[in-house]
Amino acid sequence: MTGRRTGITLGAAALAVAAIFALEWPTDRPEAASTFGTLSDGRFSTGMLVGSGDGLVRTAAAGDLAFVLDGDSLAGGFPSTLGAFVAVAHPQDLTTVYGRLEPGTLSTYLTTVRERDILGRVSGAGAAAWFGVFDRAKDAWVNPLILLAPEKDSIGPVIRSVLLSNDERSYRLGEARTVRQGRYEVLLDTADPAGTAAGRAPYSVRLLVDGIERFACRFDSAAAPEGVLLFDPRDARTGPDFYDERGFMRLGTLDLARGAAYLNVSVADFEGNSRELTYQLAVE
Amino acid sequence: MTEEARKPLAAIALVLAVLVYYFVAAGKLEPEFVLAPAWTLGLDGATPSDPADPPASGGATLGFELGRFHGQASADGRLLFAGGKEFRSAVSDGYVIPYALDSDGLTVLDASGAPSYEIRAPGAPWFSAGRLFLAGPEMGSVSEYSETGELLWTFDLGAPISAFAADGGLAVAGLVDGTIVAIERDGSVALRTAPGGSRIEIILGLAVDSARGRIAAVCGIDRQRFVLLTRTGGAYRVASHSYLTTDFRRPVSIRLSADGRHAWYEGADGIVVRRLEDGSESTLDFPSRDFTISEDPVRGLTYLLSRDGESATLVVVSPPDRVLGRYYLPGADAFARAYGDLVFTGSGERLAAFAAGED
Repeated sequence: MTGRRTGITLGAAALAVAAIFALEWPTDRPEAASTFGTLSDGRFSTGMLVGSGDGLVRTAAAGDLAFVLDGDSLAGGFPSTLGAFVAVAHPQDLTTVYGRLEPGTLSTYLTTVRERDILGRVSGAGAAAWFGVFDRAKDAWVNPLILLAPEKDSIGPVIRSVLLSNDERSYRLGEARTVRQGRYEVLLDTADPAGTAAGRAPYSVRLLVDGIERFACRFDSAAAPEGVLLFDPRDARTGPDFYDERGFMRLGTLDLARGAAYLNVSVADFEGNSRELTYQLAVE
Repeated sequence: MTEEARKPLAAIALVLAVLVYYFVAAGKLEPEFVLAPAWTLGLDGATPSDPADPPASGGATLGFELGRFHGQASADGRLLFAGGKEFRSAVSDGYVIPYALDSDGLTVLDASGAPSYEIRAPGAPWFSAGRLFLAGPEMGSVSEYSETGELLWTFDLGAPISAFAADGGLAVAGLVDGTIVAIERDGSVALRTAPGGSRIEIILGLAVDSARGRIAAVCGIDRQRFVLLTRTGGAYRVASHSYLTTDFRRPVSIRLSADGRHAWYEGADGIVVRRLEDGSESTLDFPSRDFTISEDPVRGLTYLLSRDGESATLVVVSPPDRVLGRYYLPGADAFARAYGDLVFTGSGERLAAFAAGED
């Protein structure tokens, strides 16, 4: 299967799953502190963080308790970077994963679970649980927001800056209206604030140059068929180096020739709130 | 012959019978196995040895992680370094890595406790077979680093890791979707397979013996299985399997013996010893939830450490299942492992070494 077909298949699968299977929020706060795709520990997250008012973490749907790690390491001592965590296998080939739980609070006695059964407590006051959804049939992580009830989010994403950068210099678009011709990497600093959360990734990003789409991704699903996790199997730019060391998204490189250039950057969150900026540049 | 005359003869006959029984009929008594103390070392208040005074045993160091301490000791019983554990730590023979789960870099300490090198990456470190691995964020990847801190390879696994094992040749990850991925030393994939055979696919425990091309797993729910994969003709295939009576939904301990003859894994009623040659099994009646094995190939002994809450039992076994002795070790994180002709143990806040022998 080609990369483009794989990407289309994964996206279609995510939407198809959403159409037939819905999940409950795993805590009493239906608000993501960080979203699928957010920069976390140096790479993008394949799940989301969800705060809990009462400290409890509950099953998002009925299923079978498949795995309970009620400690901080696996058999043999391999450490868990999800902390104590639980995996619940559901019909429709989905597995939900609940991490960052408090060891000793997990419901280890359960075998089958109903929707909203208590799985454990978050580790510490004000802490958030990690929540992920894995599609076993497609070997891919699915953006949980696709399957959860909508958030109450009317705040649009923000575009903090767009940079054109190469080894010699870096231009901040909006401030710089004239740039020298040459090859540049396009860097985007964006976030999707909602409620009390500020550092969330948006749901989709698109870059147009002179009206032609040069980069587009939607954070629907992520898969690692060749040992490298990608949001979009057809685009290697959506891999582990998607974020630079500052947390800026790398949207690819452009060769700017002398004349005028128009760059259009748009970002949107899952609720459809969007932000779009257009820059006109004189290339010398 | 009168009655009086017969009495001496009867006494002589009785003595002769006893002598004949003693020299002829008596069987050979088995020598009793003993662990004789070689040295002990209290960690509380102990001071490390002078670094200029190297260990007598050729520089060999033994890493330990015990209670609130981690560090290194020499095989002849001297403390080289003992640090207080403020966070978690990964320990090997020669190195200690203190770490916190939210740190984005690691400092690797040498046997004297001095910084040796740094790794600038997020994750949690783990040593196995002298190799340093890093569990990546969200249990979704694993990396290996050299002894100088260089990244050798990194691999995104897709689903979260639920089991992991490594030896000198292979690193093997089991995932919550029931997939097993084996990675060669150069980072290439040696195997990617899903044993299947159960209603819910998941890998709960893994063991690897790359020299013999074997990977053993406890996997699946409804029904749970023991599966042995062996490499034949360059590819791994299921060599044997059996359905289990267990219904574990948590990590399961499983080990392969160094001599390639046995698999040890957690059973419903104890530790199951499976003979790989014919698939026959016996069960050792000890707590099985969290156990380790360490082997003395010269003496043909297996040291089995069975943990049970706040204490552990060191069981000396002549494989497959003959128990030669058992020793109580207090402390939730007690450990025991063979080192040459010694058994190196940690319990409470005390390190000790014992020499195996017969009495």
